[in-house]
Amino acid sequence: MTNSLSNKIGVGATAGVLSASQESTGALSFGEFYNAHLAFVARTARRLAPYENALDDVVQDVFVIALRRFSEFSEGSPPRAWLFGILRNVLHKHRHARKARCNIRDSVDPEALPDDVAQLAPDRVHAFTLLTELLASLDEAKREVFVLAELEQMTAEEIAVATETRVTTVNSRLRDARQAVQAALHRHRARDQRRSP
Amino acid sequence: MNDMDDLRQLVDAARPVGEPTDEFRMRVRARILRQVGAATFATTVASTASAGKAILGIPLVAVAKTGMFLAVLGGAVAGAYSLKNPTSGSPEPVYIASAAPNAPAALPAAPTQATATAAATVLAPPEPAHESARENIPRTKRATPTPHAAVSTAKARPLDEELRLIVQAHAALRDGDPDRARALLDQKGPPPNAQLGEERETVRILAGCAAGEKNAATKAEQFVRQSARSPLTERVRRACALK
Repeated sequence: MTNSLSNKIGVGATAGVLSASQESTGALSFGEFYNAHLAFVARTARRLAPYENALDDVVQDVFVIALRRFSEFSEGSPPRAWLFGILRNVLHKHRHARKARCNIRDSVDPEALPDDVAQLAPDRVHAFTLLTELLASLDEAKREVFVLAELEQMTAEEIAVATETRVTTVNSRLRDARQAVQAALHRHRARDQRRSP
Repeated sequence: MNDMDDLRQLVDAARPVGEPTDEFRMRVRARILRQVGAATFATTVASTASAGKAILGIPLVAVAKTGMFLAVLGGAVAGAYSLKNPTSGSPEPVYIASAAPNAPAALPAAPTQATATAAATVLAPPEPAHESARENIPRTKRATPTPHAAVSTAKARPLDEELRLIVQAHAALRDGDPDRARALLDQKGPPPNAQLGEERETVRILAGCAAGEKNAATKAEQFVRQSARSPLTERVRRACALK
C-alpha cells in the first residue's frame, strides 16, 4: 500500500490544512489520531521526564510537530514508535533549554513532584518515585527501552523502530535494564530492612 | 517474594502514572488547535496586543463554526484558543482568514478583554523565548487551578465561558459533588452557539451516574452508542458501570 498515513488522517501536510471530511468516511482524522495516542505521549513523557512540570508544553510540541511531519510518516511505521521519536527530540530540546534543571539522577523530593503526580494516591506516588530512582541508575538508552517495554508493553520490533536500533539491541538493552533495575530494587529493599527495627 | 515479582509489582503500580485527565486532554487539544489553526492563515504582525486579540478571535472562531477544526480536533474546544491574557502588553501576531474561504464575512467583534479567572488554567499567554519556539509553538504558563472559583461571566467570550464551566464541573465531580457539577451547567445553560455539547452532556451523564439517578444508565448507554469514537466514551462506560 503506497498511501501515506497523512492521507488517511486527513492532513494536507504541505499546506498544513486539516481536512475533516474523513471523519464521516471512516478514515482516521487527526482528532482521532490525537485521541488515540495522547495518553501514550503523556505517560511516556512523564516517565522519561519525571520532574518535567511543563508536560502540557511537551505534549503540545509533540503533536504539533507530528502534524507538520505527517508527510514523512509511512504506514510501515507504527504510530507510537513514530511519536516516540518526536517525543525524544522534544524532551531533548526541553532539557537543553532548561540546562538539565531537573536532573533525573537527583533523588526525588516529594515537595518537587509535578502536580499531576503529587495528586495521585500515595501508593502510586511511592511507586512512581521509587521506580524513578531505580531507573536513574540506567543510561538513557536502557531507560527508554525499559519504559517502552515494561510500562508501555511495546514489542521489541516497535521499540527498535522507535529508538532507531535493531531488535537484537533492544533485547540486549532490555535484559541489561531489567537486571540493573532488579539489582537496584534489591539493594533498596535491603537498605529498608536494615533501617527498620 | 523474589526480586522479579517485586519489580513486577512495582512496575504495575507505577504504570498508570502520567495518564492524562479529561482536563489535560481538553487543555492540550485547545492549545494544539490554536497553533494548528494559526498555521492555516496568512500571517501579518499587528502592533498592538488588543488589535491582535480582536482580530485573531474572529477568523478562528469563524473557521471553527464551519466545523472544519471542530472535526479535526474532536470537535469540542475549538474556541478555547481565544483565551488570552488581557494584561499582556506584548504584540501578538494577527492571523488573517485569507485561507478560510468559508468563514463568514462578518462576525461580532470579539471583546477586547477576556475574563482572567479560572480560565487561566486552560490557556494562558505565551511564555518568553523557548527552544521550541523555532517550531512557532505558543507556550502557555501553568496556573493554579481554582475549581471552585466563582464563575465570572462579565465580558467572557461564550466559548471561554463554556469551557471554564465544564472544567469547573469536572472538578466538582472529582470532589464527589455531582449536584454542584450540574448546578454549574444549569447556572447559565448552553450559550447560543454552544460548541462543547458533548462535553456538557458527558458531565451531566457522569453526574447522574454519580448521584444514582434512575435513568442515568440509559442515558449513558445512549451516549456510548452515539459517540463510540469519543475519548469520553470510556470514562462514561467506567463511571456508569456499563458493560
